[in-house]
Amino acid sequence: MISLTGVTKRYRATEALTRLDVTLGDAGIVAVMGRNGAGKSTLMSILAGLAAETEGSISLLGEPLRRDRRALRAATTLLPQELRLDPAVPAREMIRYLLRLRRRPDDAVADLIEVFGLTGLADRPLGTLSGGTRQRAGLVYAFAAATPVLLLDEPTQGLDPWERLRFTEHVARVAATRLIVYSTHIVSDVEAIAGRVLILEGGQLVHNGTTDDLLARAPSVWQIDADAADLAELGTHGQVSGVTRLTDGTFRVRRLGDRFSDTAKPVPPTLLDAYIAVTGGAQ
Amino acid sequence: MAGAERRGFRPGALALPLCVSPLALGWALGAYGTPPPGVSPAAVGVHRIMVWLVPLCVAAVVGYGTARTGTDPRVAATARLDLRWQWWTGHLPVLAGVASAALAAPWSLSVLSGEPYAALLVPELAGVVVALCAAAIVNGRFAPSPGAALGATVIVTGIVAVVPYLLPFAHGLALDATLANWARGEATRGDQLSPAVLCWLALAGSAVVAARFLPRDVSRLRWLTMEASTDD
Repeated sequence: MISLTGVTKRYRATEALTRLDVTLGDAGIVAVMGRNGAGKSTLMSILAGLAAETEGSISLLGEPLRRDRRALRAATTLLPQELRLDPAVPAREMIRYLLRLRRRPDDAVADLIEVFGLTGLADRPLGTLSGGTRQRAGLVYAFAAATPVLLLDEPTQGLDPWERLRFTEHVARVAATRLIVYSTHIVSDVEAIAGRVLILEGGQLVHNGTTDDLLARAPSVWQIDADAADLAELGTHGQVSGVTRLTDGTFRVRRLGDRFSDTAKPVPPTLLDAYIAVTGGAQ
Repeated sequence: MAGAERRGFRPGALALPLCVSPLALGWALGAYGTPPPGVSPAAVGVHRIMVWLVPLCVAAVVGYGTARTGTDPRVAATARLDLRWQWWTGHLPVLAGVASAALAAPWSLSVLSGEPYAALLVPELAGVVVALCAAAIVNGRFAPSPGAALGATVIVTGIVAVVPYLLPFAHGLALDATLANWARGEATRGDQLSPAVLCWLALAGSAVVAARFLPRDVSRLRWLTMEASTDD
């Protein structure tokens, strides 16, 4: 569907993306992960046709795109992380307006309002709705636009667990026929639905593969129970991928890499361990 | 869809003309002016209001009031109509309000001063069109902060609407040839639709078109790229 070859994006002295080579298929779910400032939103905006690469090339359906990105914008719908809209306008009206603006059909709006649990809320002004509810209204717009590619920038931000579940179910259904690229920090979401994971670190693509491929990159993981005083010490000598408080006030710590203590027990790696290991280089 | 507000117009902008209301009142009543023989101070005053104050007020109100308003540009940029044209379609109520005020103001001042309606209307409308084009270019093409938009729009409009009367060699560029003559101490009237008016309107129109096509595609707009990547 979309191919990026050697794509670099610079903002004055800052290089937001460095020589990215990615090919995205016609359908499925691709998760884009990375720490804050890793270049996720820059990648999304290039895929959405809102930003042009400084170097490299992009093709859509095998056709190289020149300077004009209208075809890319028509094929994609970007739901930004923080969509800024008039708070006085009711959600349903705003969704229809955005679709009209893009000359997209609005016949799926009523069904999607039900899918995302907005019945009874959709006719209230956006300014009176909670952040999570406004986020769901944004999702209704994005899915109703029905473009071949959906680009969702941290779509589950502000959603409660029930809403996230509803989102996950719907995304999984839609991804059978459309390509969904979404950026997230939530590893459990990726584990649940993503067929493929792209991980950016400092503007570079450090992982491009399935969740199993990512899991395979996890180093050995060791678990140890420690008190508060030992916690900081554990962090200085290795990469900690998880800390859980126990009932007795001590902490269960997961650490990556070599065995560092006789009392450390080996445990199976998780996707979060792998993600921490892959993105931990610049720490 | 969580996030900051983005209204269609910044209502506080409507208070900006109050800054010049004492000057406007003084001019309308015939104060602060030494007209050439045979010309009333009130006539000079209303010409100044129409061709200086009204375009500058429109520039301030529209430039500030529409800066960073309307639909989120990251969605608006994906519409069929180019983002830079959308400034005009997205602010139609504002433009209608400006048009109504621009047509009504010369009538009331014409009654007050005895100046012909057309003699006030034509140069005033030319100044207002220049102000609107300046606001469209500043906000549609460059999208600066509201304060910067206010400054840029007022400066550009001021260069066209006010500066030619202040420079001794630039009277031929004035939107109101009558006021230009009076400013030089000549009690004669000039053409209402002077070559300067036509030139400024053509230049303003050309600038709007140039701002639309340079760059040709919105993905090359630096401010949009920055806006789209701020969530990184």
